[in-house]
Amino acid sequence: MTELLPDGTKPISLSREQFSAIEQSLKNFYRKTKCGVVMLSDESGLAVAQSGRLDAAKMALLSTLAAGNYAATAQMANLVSEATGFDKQYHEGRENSIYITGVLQTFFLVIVFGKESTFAMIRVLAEKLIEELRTALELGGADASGTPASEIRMHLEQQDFQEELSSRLDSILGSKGNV
Amino acid sequence: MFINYGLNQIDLKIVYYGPGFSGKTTNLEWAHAHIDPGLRSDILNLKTKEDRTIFFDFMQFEVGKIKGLTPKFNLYTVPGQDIYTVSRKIILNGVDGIIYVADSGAPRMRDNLFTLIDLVKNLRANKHQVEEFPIIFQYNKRDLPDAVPLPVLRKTLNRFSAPEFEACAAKGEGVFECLKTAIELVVQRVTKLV
Repeated sequence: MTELLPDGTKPISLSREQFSAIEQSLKNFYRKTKCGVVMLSDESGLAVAQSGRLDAAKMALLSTLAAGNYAATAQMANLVSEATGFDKQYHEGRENSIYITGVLQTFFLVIVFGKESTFAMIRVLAEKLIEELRTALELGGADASGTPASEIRMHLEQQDFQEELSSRLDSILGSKGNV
Repeated sequence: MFINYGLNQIDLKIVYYGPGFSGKTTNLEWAHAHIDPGLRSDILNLKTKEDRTIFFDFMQFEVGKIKGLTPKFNLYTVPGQDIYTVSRKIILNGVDGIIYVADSGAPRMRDNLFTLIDLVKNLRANKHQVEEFPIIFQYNKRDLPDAVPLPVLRKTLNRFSAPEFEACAAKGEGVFECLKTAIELVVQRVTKLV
């Protein structure tokens, strides 16, 4: 089973196996559809994995905005008693369009595509992609190759990790005492 | 929090919370202006025509790889106005730490308190133990002539004995100190959770 946060709503981690499977599925979709960007995000706005023609910083911004949009639209659905939560959203533009669709309860896909792709093709192939992603996400958070959360914990607990983090933050942010 | 073992990456979310006009966006804008552009994203501002935050502001920054791990920090502000209650709940989704930005101006004490109650309610709704959750108090606008004395602010707002800082975010005073402390508390909590 996938590890969950204390509120029980959101997976805490993605194993190497899961990440590799997700990346491969996104790459295949990107190649087949000739879309601009295909990205798996979580509901808090984090870009989990992506394939496409945007740098990482812009992917982070796109993911954050899409999460806000997705959450706001879900609230609108709630207000008008729409049970689907408007799980699928389509924003049509002249040069580029965006299709957003849910994957399990806590993830969603963001697909940006231009004139090289058609909405019909994107929609059909997205359904297949969603199935692949569901399978990968339901694999579980602990790494089958032997890298469970304990390895990350071991890194975090090292005193030199905390000291190195503090030192980097000092150099980036500066340091002064509290009141 | 989200750990990607494939990338050895940990994403953490810190939210600036507080009443309208307390200086949440000012904190983020100062940080954005003074962090090396190679280490941070652009800043996102979703504002009304009147320059008020309508949904959230956002910036991501990182400190590079440490002992094989890449921590990334996602910084958000919430809209402070009362009418944006739902937006605040949405932005708290997946939050790892809070910087509570209080306005030191005497007429704002009621707003400071009401927004803090709103925060506590929202955290509890997400099943967080508020007393153990990483919260930093920033008493902003300390240069106001009618600034409430520090002991009064502390007694009224900081009931958790959380770390606290005086600040004038518009001048950058207290901005980085709060952020650094928030990050350190968040990492300590993550260490216990994973």
